[in-house]
Amino acid sequence: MAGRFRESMLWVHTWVGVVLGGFLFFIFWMGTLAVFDQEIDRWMMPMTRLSPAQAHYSADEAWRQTWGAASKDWQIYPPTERTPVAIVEVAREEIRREGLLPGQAESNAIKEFHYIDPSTGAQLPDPGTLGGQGFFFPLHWNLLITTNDAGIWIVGAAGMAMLLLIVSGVFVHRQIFANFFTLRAHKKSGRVLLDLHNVLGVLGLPFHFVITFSGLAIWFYLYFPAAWQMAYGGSHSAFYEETRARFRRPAIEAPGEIASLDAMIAKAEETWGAGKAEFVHVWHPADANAFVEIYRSYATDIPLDPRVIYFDGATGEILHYDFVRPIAKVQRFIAGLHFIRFRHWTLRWIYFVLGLTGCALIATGALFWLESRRKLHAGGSSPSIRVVEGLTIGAVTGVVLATAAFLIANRVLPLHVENRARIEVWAFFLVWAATFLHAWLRPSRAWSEQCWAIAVAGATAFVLNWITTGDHLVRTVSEANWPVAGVDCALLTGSAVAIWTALALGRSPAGRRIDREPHESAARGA
Amino acid sequence: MAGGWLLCSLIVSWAWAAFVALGIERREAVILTPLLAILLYLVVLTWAFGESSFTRLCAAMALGIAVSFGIQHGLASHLGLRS
Repeated sequence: MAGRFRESMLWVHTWVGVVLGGFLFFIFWMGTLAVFDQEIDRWMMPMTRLSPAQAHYSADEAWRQTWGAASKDWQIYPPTERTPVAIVEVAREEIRREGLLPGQAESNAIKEFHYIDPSTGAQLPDPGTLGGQGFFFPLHWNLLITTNDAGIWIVGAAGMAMLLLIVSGVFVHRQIFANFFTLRAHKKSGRVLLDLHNVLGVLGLPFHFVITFSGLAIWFYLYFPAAWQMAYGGSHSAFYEETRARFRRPAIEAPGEIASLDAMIAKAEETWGAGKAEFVHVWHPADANAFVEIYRSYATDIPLDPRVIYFDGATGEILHYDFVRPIAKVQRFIAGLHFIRFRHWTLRWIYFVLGLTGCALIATGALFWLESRRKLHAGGSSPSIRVVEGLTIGAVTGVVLATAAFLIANRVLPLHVENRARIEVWAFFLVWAATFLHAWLRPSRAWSEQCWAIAVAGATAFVLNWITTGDHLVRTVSEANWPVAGVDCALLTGSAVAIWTALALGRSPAGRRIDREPHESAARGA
Repeated sequence: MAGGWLLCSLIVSWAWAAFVALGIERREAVILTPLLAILLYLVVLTWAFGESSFTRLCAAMALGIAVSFGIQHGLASHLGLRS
């Protein structure tokens, strides 16, 4: 009975991995990049490479500067340690807030983005890019598919599959702790791949489980909506307001003015006792019923609990301040573990490394399957292997290469080019599509060639950043410009790893055999 | 997979009300139940893939859904909820 169950788990582990491995790699890769999304933004938006703001910024000044009183919706993200500029988002048209998700509803409106240097108050030029926060992060959680939340559902299904892979993997590996200490690097490539897969799987098991479960727990109300739909008669806003201790009131179409935002921020920070304001949202500006929503920074706590305080827009008096209840706080804690918005650089790096181990875990699993299938077909290449291998190459090395192309496009395109951000996105997807085509056309050499391409692309992005901004590694390190130095170091490390992998592929017996395949096939054909 | 999701959704549709009846606040029950449902779905999926008999799998799933429907309707009328 137990043996049969283990066999079933092996079957699930194998086939779910083969079918969804590439997609899961993509989600893990984007999530890993999103750990440093704000640092990637500094690299991709050179005009925002300012030293962390010491000078006091003024929300009132930003309000006047961006014509807040003439807007329909006004938001400001004050400067932080990771993002040293103040970012103002202004909507000049009425925003339709009818969607299920707060972010999704707001995407209906066309917004203006203003980047303000907090120490001088000067407006910075438009960065013309989506950057890490605007591209890698949403790709991670909704694949940029917002229609009917389809992207979140697809990622959720993949997340559930990942949990199933983790659980089935534990059942499959009876000697889970023995596996952890077993890496026979001198053995044949298939054995090494399996050992590596096991070591990475056991090493990262708690992290991979927690990060996948927490990813699902963020969207609990979307995946299992029956509870709130029944409890709140289908009103998502009622559910959201009650569970997150939020407050809303409609506009009354009468003119009004906004009191000092700086004074409201000061009062909010005094009420919290500790923590700075991270987000200020003026609802119904210029209306007599305007109110101001102020979020506390997430930097000091793991839970994503912003302890929102609401102020009356006209008087600046506190309208509403409530706490989320313990179970909601648990959910926010789980979400906080996933988002890692709290300030802890060591842990952030550990997240990054463990994210990479997740990528490597998925890639080694797929490679092991391909290797064992080749053996089954006596070194030959069946159509199924070719399809899976082509998809795996495109999904693993292809997405890494596309990421590098995205960064290169960012440094090559002049700032004034129209639709610059869109061209960068196109560069990413076109290069990614090309890697699938390349993998299909040159299956025998695609792994090593794409590794070489990654090495060249990573080094190119590094050099282009130097040429176009003057911020070379020595300068960024000496000036303690860690976000830019970090991305540069990651690019160089990625290039070095890609070179090592390409060389290892060339040296390994499996690699040599793969290289011989077309000649042997041709000889067999002759 | 779809059957498991349906079963868990059905359980969520009445379990939150059961938690409320046990004294948990509504705003907490509607969060707790779906969170538990994610873990329950994982258990159901693991069991479903591990189950060797397709007949037994279908029968268990159908029974689970039927019982869940029954509890949902029973609780709905007992607690005056809209089902």
